[in-house]
Amino acid sequence: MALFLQRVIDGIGNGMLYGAVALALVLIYRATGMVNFAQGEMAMFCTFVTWKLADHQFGIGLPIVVGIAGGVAFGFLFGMALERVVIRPFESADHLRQMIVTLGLFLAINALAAWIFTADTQRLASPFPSGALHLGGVSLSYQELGVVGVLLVMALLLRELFGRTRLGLAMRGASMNPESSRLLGVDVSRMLMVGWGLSAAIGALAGALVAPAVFVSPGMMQTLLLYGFAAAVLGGFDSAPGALVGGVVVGVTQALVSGYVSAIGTQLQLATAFALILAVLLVRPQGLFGRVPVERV
Amino acid sequence: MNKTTNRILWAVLLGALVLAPFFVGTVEISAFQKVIYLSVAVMSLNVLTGFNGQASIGHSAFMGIAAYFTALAVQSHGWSYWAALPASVLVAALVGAAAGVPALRIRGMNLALVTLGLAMVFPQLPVRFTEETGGTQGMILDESLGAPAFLAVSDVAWRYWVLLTLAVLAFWLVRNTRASRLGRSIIAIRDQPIAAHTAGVNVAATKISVFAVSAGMAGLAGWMFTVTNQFVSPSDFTVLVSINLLLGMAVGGSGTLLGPVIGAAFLHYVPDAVTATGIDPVLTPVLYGLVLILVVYFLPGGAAGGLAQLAKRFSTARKPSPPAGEPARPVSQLTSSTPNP
Repeated sequence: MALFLQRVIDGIGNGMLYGAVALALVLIYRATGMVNFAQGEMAMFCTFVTWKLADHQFGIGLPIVVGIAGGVAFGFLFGMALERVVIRPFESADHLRQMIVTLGLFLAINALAAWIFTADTQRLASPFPSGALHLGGVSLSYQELGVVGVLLVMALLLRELFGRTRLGLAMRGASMNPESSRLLGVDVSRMLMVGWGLSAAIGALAGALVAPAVFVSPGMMQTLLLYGFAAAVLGGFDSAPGALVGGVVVGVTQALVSGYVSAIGTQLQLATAFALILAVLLVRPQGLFGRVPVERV
Repeated sequence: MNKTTNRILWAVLLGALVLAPFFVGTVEISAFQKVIYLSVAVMSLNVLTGFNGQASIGHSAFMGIAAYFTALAVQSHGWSYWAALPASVLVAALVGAAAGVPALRIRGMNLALVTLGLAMVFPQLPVRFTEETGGTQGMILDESLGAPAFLAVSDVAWRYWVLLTLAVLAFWLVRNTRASRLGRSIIAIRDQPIAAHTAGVNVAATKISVFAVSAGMAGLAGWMFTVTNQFVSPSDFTVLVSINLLLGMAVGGSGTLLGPVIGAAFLHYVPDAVTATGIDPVLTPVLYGLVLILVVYFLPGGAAGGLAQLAKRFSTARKPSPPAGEPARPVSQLTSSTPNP
């Protein structure tokens, strides 16, 4: 029982990170209707910025918390710049072309990171103390607790932003009904740009939080991206709370499956995410929280 | 470009390719072999995405399945390459058909997600079964596809001709299918799925068949990969390979026959050209990414589409202008779908 609980808890810890990646994907999807395949690589690039700011040997050696803040701020600007320069010309293009463009970004950002920073695997310090809290037979590491805490705070802040601030409401309006928003004086293009910035910043935060566990390298976010997709699909792809809940479900499922099904083990963990994506899309394409799209023919 | 010149051009190109082993060295022939299997791989994606409008980031997996099937059959089970050829193509096609069934319900971006999952999971399979496949180290095949004894040709030239023949057959199949009733249904499903359905096209069956044929063709490219390299490893079939195939399709021109050849040549020769200019080869994918985005923006028809437009401009320039009073309308305003040269 303790082992089971332990696996569930570890699953929740990982799942919140998947949820954060999913949230980043959902924000862009809701704002621009695009599935951003470059999301993981953008987060990876920002994590390298954090590493450069915080590392004592190769970087500036700032405190890790400052480094993360710098990476997140960079992410915000980076996301806005990408939207303005690369994405905006394809705002009204068909899905296939949008997909190809974000895949082009994927290639370019991945290689650019290897060239600017390094292709080697690097270590990034954790902002949380090592050690763990022992409750009964279960141990909660401070790392896990810290990750869950930070991401919950982030989720609450986002809820405030989208629920109560002028900017957040304008952003929602711009994505839900661009025409009316324009009539009300909302700069729709700028709102989409802010949406990309916000999404990239969330990705940067997720990258920095996952880095102590998976290390920093150009490929660090690629498996996380698939888990993020699984979480987003499970949550309905257009629901922010759904993304986080979906992340936790994916995390727990993955921990339990790889713990109890020996044929899957650690090497085939990704297959769990793949199976989840497939199952959800076949059985309930709108996910747990999504709306059923009604199409007028 | 009219039909006759088109045919003459294809014949000249083919003749030059057939005779190539007599004029160029082994290194170039090996390079040609790679271009050939890349052409087939890009064409397989083109069949699915370019003609039928279904997105796939999973073609590296279909290639990998056939390549690994061939490697395991030849190296561990004593099959000949020839026996592995139909079997590996069939296996890839079956997996493709299985992937095509969810594709009926899962469309657009969601299909891309599912195939992305396929592409990401596949390289982990050889690692999971390291004892049989050599894991991340990959596996080297001791046997090679040699020329039959009664033909006095080198093994390299023989392999090249085998690949060339199979590729020509595959392209010929695609060409003839496109002109058939089935081909028109496939394209109709891409452009107007609902209208195609109304006109009596069995959308579901057609989509699954296209997925299976496309995956089988990717499998053929996988078999060619193993024949060419006598080596397979998980890193040869990562998701990046799938993205490269998409790049090849976009650069060459989707929905065309010549496009995949141009795209494959681009994929094979550009990295060398980049290195030759003294730019750090690490940056090649950056160039790829930029080219991909620029092509999609400025040249949606790819190189083949651009060439066709150029040819059209030349041939219409010589014709007398239409009588005054009736303004000439460019073709692009009459049809909304992408041009199919």
